[in-house]
Amino acid sequence: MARILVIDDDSDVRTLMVYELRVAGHEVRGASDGAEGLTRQRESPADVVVTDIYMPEKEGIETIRDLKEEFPRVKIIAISGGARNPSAGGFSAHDLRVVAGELGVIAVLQKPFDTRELLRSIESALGQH
Amino acid sequence: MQAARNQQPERSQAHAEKLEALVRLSSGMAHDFNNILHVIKNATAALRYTAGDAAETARLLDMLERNAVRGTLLTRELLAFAARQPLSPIPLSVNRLIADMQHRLRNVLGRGAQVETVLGGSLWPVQADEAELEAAIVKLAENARDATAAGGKITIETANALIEEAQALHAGIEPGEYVTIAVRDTGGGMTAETLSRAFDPYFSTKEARPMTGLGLPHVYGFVKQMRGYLTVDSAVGTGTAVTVYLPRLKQAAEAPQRNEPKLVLASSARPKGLAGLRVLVVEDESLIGMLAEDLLEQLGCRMVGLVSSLRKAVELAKSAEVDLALLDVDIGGEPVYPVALALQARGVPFLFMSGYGALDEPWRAHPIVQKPFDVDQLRKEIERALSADQ
Repeated sequence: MARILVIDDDSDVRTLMVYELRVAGHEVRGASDGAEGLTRQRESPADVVVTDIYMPEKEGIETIRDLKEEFPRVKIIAISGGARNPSAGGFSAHDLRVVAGELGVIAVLQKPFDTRELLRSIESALGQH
Repeated sequence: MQAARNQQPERSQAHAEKLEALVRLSSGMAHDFNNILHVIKNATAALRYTAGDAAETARLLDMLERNAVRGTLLTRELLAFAARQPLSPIPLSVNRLIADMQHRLRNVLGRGAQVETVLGGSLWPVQADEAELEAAIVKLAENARDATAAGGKITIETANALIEEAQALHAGIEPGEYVTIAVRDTGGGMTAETLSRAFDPYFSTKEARPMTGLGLPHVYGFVKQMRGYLTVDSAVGTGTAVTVYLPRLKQAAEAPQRNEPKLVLASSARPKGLAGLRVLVVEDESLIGMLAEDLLEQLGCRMVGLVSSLRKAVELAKSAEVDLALLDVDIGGEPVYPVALALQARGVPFLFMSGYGALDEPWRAHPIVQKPFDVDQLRKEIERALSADQ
């Protein structure tokens, strides 16, 4: 059982992930954007943060950097639905994996992914020290 | 009738801005679609274990999952249009790619479609994602088929193109060396207004088929990602030609040979008299044409064209600058003799290629090489054809 924080601006996606991870036995909270996610993390640090990449206001990559800076040991899994605005510097799938890897992200999952993939990534993350 | 030419989408500022907006739109849609699909997919999985009527629920869930898959394919196309799809470019030969995809093209386009290929000789290699380039050619051919009435023709033609400064300015293409892939149809052509929307996602003149308008935008995005260009020439009543320009790969390494038998040079001596000979090959099996090209190269000859259509071959026989022609006896079920007659009228030597039987009169004594042939056999018959001509 782990403490997990799910950050996604899409309320249905977030609600579903929170539900499925709780059914799998984890303690889960949700946040609708990067700023709220950081607040939640400071209130009650999670072991694993699952964060969307392309969100309004504060993008996922920036959120990841901030999380890693304040919580170096937190395990992060990035999820992506594809480039929202390539003209504003959105990443290709390949570039995202490169950037995320450099930031210490455990895994990058491309939506739509199966919940089992997410659970496997979380198990893998928890197995790392 | 005036021909409408859409040369490069970026040329006009307004069109460039429009395209940019479309790129943003499609990317945003893709992101949102993926979120929706994620919900459908996982909610479906969860429902399987919570619903009461298992059989009915399962049937509905299958329907939901199928739509989730369709949505996934759609988002992939949207990202391709945004030129952000992951690609794996490799050095490749466009002629060999087209030769290898003949069966796929026939299956996709259907029996009624008449497709001819005119493959330029000594085609330069390119660097491209093989699967995506094949998909792009199929999409262009499908569009051409849909635009062509029964009995019409689709032509896929490749060539090397050197775009110089003056041409570049006119065509909106950076000067340089390119390999062109032109897909032409003999359909009704496009009006200027239709042509101006040819790159709009979801725009389609095919009313009966929903969501088919991403073909050209998808190809455009891919070509752009390959640092190439795409032009569309169309005139009402005379059909449409879509031409892809891919930059020549300028590396020492040759394009990889795909699924081709190894050819052994029976004689290492390069014979005199054949050096630089310009040869036209008429053969409807592209792979055999490619093999013939390899043998001709070993002999020092240069294949200037590989033609699969009898009509096109007769046309070239009457006007092309060639020193010799190599003619498959049977082209699409029709004898190649009209081509032979045209060449004979001009005094251009030629020889036949055949996989079976003898030639009909009056060609029975004419030089012929029996398939499968090796380089020595080909050389012998070429020399016989050249001697007979003198």
